[in-house]
Amino acid sequence: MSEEAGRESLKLWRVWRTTRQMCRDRGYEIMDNEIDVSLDEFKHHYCDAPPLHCHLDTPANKTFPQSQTHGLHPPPQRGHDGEIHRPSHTRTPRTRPPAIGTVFVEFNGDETVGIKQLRTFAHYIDEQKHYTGIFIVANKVSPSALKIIPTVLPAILEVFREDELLVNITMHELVPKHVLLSKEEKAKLLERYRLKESQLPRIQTTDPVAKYLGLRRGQVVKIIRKSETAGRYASYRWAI
Amino acid sequence: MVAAVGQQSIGGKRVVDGFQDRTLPHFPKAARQPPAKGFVKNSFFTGLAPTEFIFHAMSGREGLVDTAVKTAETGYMSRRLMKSLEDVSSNYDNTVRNSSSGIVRFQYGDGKLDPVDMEGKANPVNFERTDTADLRLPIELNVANAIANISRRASDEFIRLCLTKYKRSIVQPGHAVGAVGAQSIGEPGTQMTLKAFHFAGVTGMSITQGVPCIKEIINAFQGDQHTGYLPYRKETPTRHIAYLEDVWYGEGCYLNMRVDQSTIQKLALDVTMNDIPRAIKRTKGLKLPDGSTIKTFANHFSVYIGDPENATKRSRSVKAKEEGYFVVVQNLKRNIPDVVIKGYPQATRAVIKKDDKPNANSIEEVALLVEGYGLLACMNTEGIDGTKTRTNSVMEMKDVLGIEAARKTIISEINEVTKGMDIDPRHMQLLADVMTCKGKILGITRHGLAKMRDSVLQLASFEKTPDHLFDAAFHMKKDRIEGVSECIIMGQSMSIGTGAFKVVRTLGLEEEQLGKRAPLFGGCFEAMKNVATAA
Repeated sequence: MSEEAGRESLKLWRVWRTTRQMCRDRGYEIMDNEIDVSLDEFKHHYCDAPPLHCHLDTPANKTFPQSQTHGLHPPPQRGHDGEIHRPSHTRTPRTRPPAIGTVFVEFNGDETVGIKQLRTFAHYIDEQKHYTGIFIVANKVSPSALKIIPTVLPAILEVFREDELLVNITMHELVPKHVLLSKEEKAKLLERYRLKESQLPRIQTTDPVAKYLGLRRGQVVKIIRKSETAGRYASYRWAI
Repeated sequence: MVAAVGQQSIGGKRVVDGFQDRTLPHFPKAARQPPAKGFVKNSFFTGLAPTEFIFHAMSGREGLVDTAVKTAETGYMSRRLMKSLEDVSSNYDNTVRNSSSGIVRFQYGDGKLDPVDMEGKANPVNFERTDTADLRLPIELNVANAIANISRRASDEFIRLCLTKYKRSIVQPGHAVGAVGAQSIGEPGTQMTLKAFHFAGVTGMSITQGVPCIKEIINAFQGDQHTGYLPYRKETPTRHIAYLEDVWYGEGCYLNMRVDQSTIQKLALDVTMNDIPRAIKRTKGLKLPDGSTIKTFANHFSVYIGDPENATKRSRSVKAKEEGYFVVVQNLKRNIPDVVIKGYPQATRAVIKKDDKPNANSIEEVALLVEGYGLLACMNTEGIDGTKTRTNSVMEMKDVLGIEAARKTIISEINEVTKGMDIDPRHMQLLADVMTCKGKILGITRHGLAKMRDSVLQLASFEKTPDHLFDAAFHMKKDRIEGVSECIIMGQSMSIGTGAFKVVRTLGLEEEQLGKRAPLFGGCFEAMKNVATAA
């Protein structure tokens, strides 16, 4: 059994690390040492019992204790929160008001996630006025629960499965760097090529990389492709 | 063929059984000897035996069919490619766009170079050839002087020439890069063999090749494809039931089985005795009757099968009741050895491949090749480098790693198939861009074409003409006559090549020449009416 628990904690450690990298890549301020936590440290922090006996299979134990950064008290059953303020995407100094609000991350270890869990989560996100709620489930989400995501506006939910986050896909050798453009940069791009945004190449918001970056309809990503002969060159895609 | 004609092959295999369990009635059933499976031991000089003659004719026929089918297949492929890419051209702002001004690429190729002007391997200057003329490293004059012993003037001239060649080969605005690309991929296709499968090297993975492979990629095909992953370790489906019997006693029956531990150990499988009952209970098609239990002891385990007669839940076991206890037991006996205990459901085979030569870091790379699907599962496997796993299934790549990775896969896969045919990579890149520029993968088929642009005439000129026309009439569709097909139909000049630029000039009109003008015969009707009333 301890072997299984060890495997489970390894899996969670990988998911947890990718989640933090994801938040960093979206522009939230996370220190590198907050991301590069070794497995032992992770076990020490998040598994209640000594590493060998940590049981991570029950939902109550699976949730993470609250993050060290901020003292936002998570309700019972609720886990790690990353209450971090985000600077704007532009390269201009950080005096500007952030373009995006706070993010809240919750890990859920339930066997199946249905409408009930998502609704409570959406309610919480709405109440706390978070820009985005990231909901990470261990298993499957019921299809009917996924349907309610667009109906709980203004709260915006992003649901990830753990196996989607085990490997950080943006580090894959075939995935080029995607950078989100700010409103000004987007306007400049459209101006430069005299384009309507509908004339840009597209990327679906359900695309794995778009999901990773939390792209919303209408945003534009710059894609920096490497070339064998000509160094690097940029391409752009419009999220739909 | 002087000594022996040799083994005849059909579809890459020995002659298949056309009769019951044998190739021809001349042989005993289930015969697997060389002569019975298409080996021709005679030479053309000694003359072929009747069976040998038949086998030889069979494989000869295959070649003929191949040529006939190939022509049609590649021809259709070329047509589809041409229809999808015909209106893609480069523009004055260096972008590559289709005729509705939708951007396909922000610049053609990697460096705006035109493949038509390339020397050697897709480069504007073939340095490898100039190398033989002892002109290596002309940029650094000292080095050049030391090695090649050339004068300053010669070196300057050389650099000037290189730059001229580079500038000359920059793609010109209006160039029909799409049409050139379609032809450059379609034409070599006709030269390829139609060999569908090839068993690559020691790994024995069957990989689709040649024209069928290009067809699969271009059609955005979703079916059996083959997957390769890097690097190492995974469970594979193997059978390890050593012995199985059904034991009957007064009240019922159980199936007794022994697990072959030595096989498990040899394959280093991570299977314990507890996994097996769990897997049996989990398997859906098995339909264990109610009241069945599984007991394990040492290497043995027994499945006690409940009598369907005693079943309480009616709905489930009605069929089992009709069949009777004995049939149920026999069914289970046949099916239990096929229960999958561990592994990925979509993977069918896995092979470990180790490189012979060490890489730059002097490590011999180990790769795991998996046949079937399940990129995500393989990527997440412990011990696998998830950032290097890849598959040749474009659709799966898109679902797991996104549209950009799918684009790269299209390029690399077409590159792989056409390698040795010397196609400029820019054509492949353009094709991949056209296929992915809408965010999802559009096949080069009529379905994909309909989503690329919204022109009725173009679609009608391709396939299903009446359907498109009736539909367009019913919905009162408009067509802006932008693309190549539409312009040809309407007899207009198209917007590629010399038609790419439009002149805007002042017409030199005075203020009073503008505004509403009276029609030429505007007063005629009134005048006629007056004449009529007067008369």
